[in-house]
Amino acid sequence: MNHIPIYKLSEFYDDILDAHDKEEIKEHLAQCPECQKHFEQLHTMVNLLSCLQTISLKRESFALDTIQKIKKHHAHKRYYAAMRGSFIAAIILLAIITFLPESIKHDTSFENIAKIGNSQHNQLKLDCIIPVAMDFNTALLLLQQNNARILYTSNSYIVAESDVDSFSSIRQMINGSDSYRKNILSDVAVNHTNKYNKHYPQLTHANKKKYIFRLQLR
Amino acid sequence: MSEYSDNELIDRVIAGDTDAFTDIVKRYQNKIFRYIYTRVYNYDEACDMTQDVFVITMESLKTFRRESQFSTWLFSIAVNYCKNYRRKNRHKIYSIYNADNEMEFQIPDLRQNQEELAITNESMQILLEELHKLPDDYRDILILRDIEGESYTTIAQALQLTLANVKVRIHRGREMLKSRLEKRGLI
Repeated sequence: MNHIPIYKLSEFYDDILDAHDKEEIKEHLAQCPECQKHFEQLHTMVNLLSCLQTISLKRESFALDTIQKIKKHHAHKRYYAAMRGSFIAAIILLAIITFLPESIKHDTSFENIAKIGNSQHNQLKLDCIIPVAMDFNTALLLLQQNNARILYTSNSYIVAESDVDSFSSIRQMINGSDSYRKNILSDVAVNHTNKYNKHYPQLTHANKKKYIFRLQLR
Repeated sequence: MSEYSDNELIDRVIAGDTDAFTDIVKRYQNKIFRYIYTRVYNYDEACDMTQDVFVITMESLKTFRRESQFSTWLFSIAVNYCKNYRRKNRHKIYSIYNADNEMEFQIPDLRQNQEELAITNESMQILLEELHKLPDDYRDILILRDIEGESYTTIAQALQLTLANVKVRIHRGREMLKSRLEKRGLI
């Protein structure tokens, strides 16, 4: 006698076989003690397993505790989201602070001309000092018209930077005005400290691309 | 227990009524706990893990597309959570001989119900131990089928298996458990 395959017994137990197979198995079980034993064992085991459905939580307040945990979790999430936001904002602020002076350096607009600090101004290497008999606004206008970058301003002078062409143009314009003193370069060379002397020869050479100079107001 | 359906409760929770989730927890806490308990076999740990499953469920409730029953979806969350938990704690040694376990579930005295089986607390412990020793895939499927009484289709959805695969695993799982229980003299 051919015994019923175990998987068929399992499917028979779960009642998922078609009517024909079911009938066949029923008939076989009625006359085969071995298959009957298997089926009874399966029945006993599944009955035992179903008893595990009685396993349950002993804690009465489990649901409320869970809700509390969820609320706590949400509060934590919000806190960490806020912290993350603050951290990112701080990083952005730090980046802005770090790169701000650089951006001001490249800004030639009138509003930003005096934003370079004293410490940076002191580090600038001047190529020359040009005494002019102009007021502050006129000197500033002159520099801006010639695309010079204003690096620093004070009541008595303006420090600016320009390329060779602009610098020549500025010099010519100052030359043309009454306020310009003749032989300015030699004047400065004589009157000023040796610190700047080394730069003067370069002023007449075309190899220098940029000049940093100070218009000394009177 | 609330008279609202799962979907009604979910709508309320999504609308912002967090307390409606209490009813969902009450409805499914034992089912999820049973599943987790048979995996970790430790009451306190199973409690914490069950809570975590509900926290995750609450968080992802908006993503529930209602293509399956809520209980099926919840169970699949529990299954995935347990898999991840096991991966994270793979070095942890689970003791299946927890002295406290004996007090953690109640065995109905079926003799009073005139059933054929005289089930003792000891036999339940043996059954739990042997169930715990089964490979995860087979244990999960036996829990769903023979403890929770879920249909083949629901099991396939919860475990993301084909129907044919479910049939094979149920049969193999039962075979494995049967031979283990035979050796222990339980059946």
